Amino acid sequence: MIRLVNYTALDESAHERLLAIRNSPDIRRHAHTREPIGWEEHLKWVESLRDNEGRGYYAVMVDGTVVGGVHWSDSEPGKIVWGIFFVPEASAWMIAATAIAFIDTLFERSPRCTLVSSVHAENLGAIRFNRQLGFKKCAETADFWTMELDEAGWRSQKEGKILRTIIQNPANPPVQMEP
Amino acid sequence: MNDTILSIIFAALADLNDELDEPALEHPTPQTRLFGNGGALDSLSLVSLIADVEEKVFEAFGKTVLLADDKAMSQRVSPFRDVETLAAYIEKLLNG
Repeated sequence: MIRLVNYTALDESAHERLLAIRNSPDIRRHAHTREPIGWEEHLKWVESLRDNEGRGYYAVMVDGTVVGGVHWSDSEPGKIVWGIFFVPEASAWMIAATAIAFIDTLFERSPRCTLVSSVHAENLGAIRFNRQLGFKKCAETADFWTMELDEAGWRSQKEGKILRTIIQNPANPPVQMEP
Repeated sequence: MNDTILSIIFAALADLNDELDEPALEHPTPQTRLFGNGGALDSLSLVSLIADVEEKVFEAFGKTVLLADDKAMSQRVSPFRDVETLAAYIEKLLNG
């Protein structure tokens, strides 16, 4: 079972683990903010998430351990920016199941929205990953690609061989999103 | 190396590449990188490949192998680095 737990509901040790993952060089190298985030700064920011209906941040937990994070935030009307990150040793099943379940949830809640990914231009793995989810590049800067996916595109992608094989496989781990 | 296992992996890669259209997978060899540094697959396509290979292994050998084990799926120490390591891993599971 993979649990998505709201950042505001995490205990201190889970926050320490989450921040350590977020500050690891592997993650920072392709992030918008490349500087490490301090402990106090992190806690203050988490406080700002309480009662904030415009964004949701969740730790990905397996067997009680934080292994990554997913988030969404309203950017402009009709658009929701999402993101996902994992520890390098996370299993591909874990990553695939989490991404599919999270996107499903976002489109269930806002079927008319467009999901937006902002992906570092040198992060070829993430670009491939987004493409397999059905995202298409719609803009780029020197450092980042903006990729988008709407609900019709998502439904169509889920009927393709790759996502269909994953979704229908009994080994696909269940994902539970907690408020 | 078991030629049947290699054939299974190549067939699964060919099926997968119908959708991926990835040049690196057009003419795979035992050295073709799959996952991790320099690999042609992302997490989603790796999982799809594995599910397909498991099915084809069962059809060919009548044995169920579980390649999608959490430990094996690790990105850093992984039997999915290239075709050769994947074939060796399958052979080990079949003989185990």
